[in-house]
Amino acid sequence: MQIDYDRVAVTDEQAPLPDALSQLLTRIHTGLSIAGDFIFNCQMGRGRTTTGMVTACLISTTLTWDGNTFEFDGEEDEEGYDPMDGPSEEDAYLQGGFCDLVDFCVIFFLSLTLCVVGEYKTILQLVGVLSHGKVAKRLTDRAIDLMQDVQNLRKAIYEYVCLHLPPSLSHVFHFQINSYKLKYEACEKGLKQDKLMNIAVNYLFVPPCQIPPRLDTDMERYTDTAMAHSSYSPTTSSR
Amino acid sequence: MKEGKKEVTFPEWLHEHREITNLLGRRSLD
Repeated sequence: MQIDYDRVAVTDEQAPLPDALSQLLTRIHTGLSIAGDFIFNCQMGRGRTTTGMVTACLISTTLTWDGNTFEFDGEEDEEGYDPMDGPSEEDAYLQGGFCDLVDFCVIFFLSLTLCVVGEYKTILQLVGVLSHGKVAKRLTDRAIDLMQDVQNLRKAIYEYVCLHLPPSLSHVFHFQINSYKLKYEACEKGLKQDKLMNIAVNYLFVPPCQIPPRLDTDMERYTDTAMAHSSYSPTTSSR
Repeated sequence: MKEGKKEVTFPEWLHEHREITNLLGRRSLD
């Protein structure tokens, strides 16, 4: 059996340091054309394992890109460009090429940071700072969803944050919920609104006991609004 | 990789972009 083994030092429950991420990138990049499979494992086979899998998925996706528009499965692709997101950097980016080591690295580092802090204020700022932020985020969300049979990193982090969030930071969650709420109220009623609601509810859904107190009211109001327009099921969406 | 373009490692690139390292270095969600 031919095995090309390597150890990447990543501290548990922390984002990989840049050097570790660079090592992952190099290993996967150089091995992609010859390797049959990539196998990742950590102590528990959950968090860091999935992080490696998501990283490999992102590298594979970008290396095999044919130069045309990325095809995203599911709701985002069908919804198309949403003017609520502001000017589309994505179109300009996709015309400019993608095969550059730094581009890869930015996406990977963004992805690993996303795994740590979720879709919160810092991440939104990071997406804004990066010239390819929006595409990177979409690719990352897709990779996380593809690997969720092991663990959905986004949900895991959200639940972790809900359990450990100091009351002084609960306004960050208001920011996140309000952004979904604005989108929901702005879009047309019907199928598109139902899909957006499914995304939001599944993304934000946690047992009530884990929701910070200041969030509770907004969540109830938000889901009440959703119930008035659609019949959603938190268990049926891809998220 | 793009032909004729010098390859920059990720740590090198990150070192030159303090606006990104500042964001990534935050230890809270705020």
